[in-house]
Amino acid sequence: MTTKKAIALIGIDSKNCAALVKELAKGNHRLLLISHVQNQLTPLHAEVLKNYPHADVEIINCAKDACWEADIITLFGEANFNKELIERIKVVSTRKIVTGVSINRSKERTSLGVNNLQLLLPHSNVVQVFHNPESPDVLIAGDDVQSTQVISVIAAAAGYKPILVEGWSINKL
Amino acid sequence: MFERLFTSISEKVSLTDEEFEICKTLFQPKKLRKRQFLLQKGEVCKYTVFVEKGILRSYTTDEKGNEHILQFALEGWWMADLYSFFTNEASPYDMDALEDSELLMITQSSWSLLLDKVPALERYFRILIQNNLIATQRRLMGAMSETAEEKYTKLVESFPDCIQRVPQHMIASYLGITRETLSRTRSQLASRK
Repeated sequence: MTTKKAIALIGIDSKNCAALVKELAKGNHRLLLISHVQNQLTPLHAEVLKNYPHADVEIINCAKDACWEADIITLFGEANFNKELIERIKVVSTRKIVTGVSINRSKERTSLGVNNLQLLLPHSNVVQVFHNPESPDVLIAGDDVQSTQVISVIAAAAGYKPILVEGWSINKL
Repeated sequence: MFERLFTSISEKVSLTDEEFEICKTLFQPKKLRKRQFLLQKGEVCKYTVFVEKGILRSYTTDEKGNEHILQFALEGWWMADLYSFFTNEASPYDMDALEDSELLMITQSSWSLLLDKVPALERYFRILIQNNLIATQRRLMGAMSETAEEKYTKLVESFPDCIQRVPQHMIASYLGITRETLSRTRSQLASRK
């Protein structure tokens, strides 16, 4: 038996992000959906449980508490640029995998976001993920090999095709 | 978040503020809810864990489904399967939380780095391992030679907090006695007071 990893998901701001969450719900994870706006993620939560009744998924209002509980922290889109948020979760993110996920955004914006993350979270293992919803490919890059492999395995289990990119910047593709 | 760890360290060695800050960068803070697993049988024990808040237990389960508890870890205690931690071999133990807990976890590579950067911690961990060896010897001797009453009395005197917070059937498992024997022993002790 494998111990469940708790994954905190911050900044779910689009249908594409929601689709990714539903795929993750299939796996052996505990999903912590962070929402500061009352009832914002309730429909997504309900939909996940409707499709996967045994999914372990919970809405948490406090990003710090969720990230404290999480083994992996995932920031979607503009959450990668939210300095106030990142400062709040910094103390509970030490030595954890922090994934900056960019869905359907420019590679330049993606790279900028993840570089920003690594600067603000110097003691976390930052991994960048770039995904175009029109393709099953998921590009994964990061300095820490073990962390990129963990994210790769999770992506593969969720039905995506992970492609590990060497070095930091997705612009190198 | 690091209060109890730093108190535990300061009781045995002196660290500078800078050295404490280094510690903060190498431990992973983790909240674990009651009944959530930290480690399951067959996995490699990747972390050694310090308990800031809550209680953990490590145990095995036999073919009949009976649990055999090796250890509890309360606030200020460390827990790991050290054999698995140092050899990367699969652990035979399960570890879970008996209460909502706040932990500080460190991997073997981070632990080695910690000892490189803060050499004073070599003494701290040496003292911990020393004390653990003594306690393990005493527990082994106790398991072989002590009566149920002696085992229970020793546990109450050494760790009264444990008795209040851990279910009785788990105390019995830890002491290697049946629930009925524990219940009888407690009644006998209570009647003598």
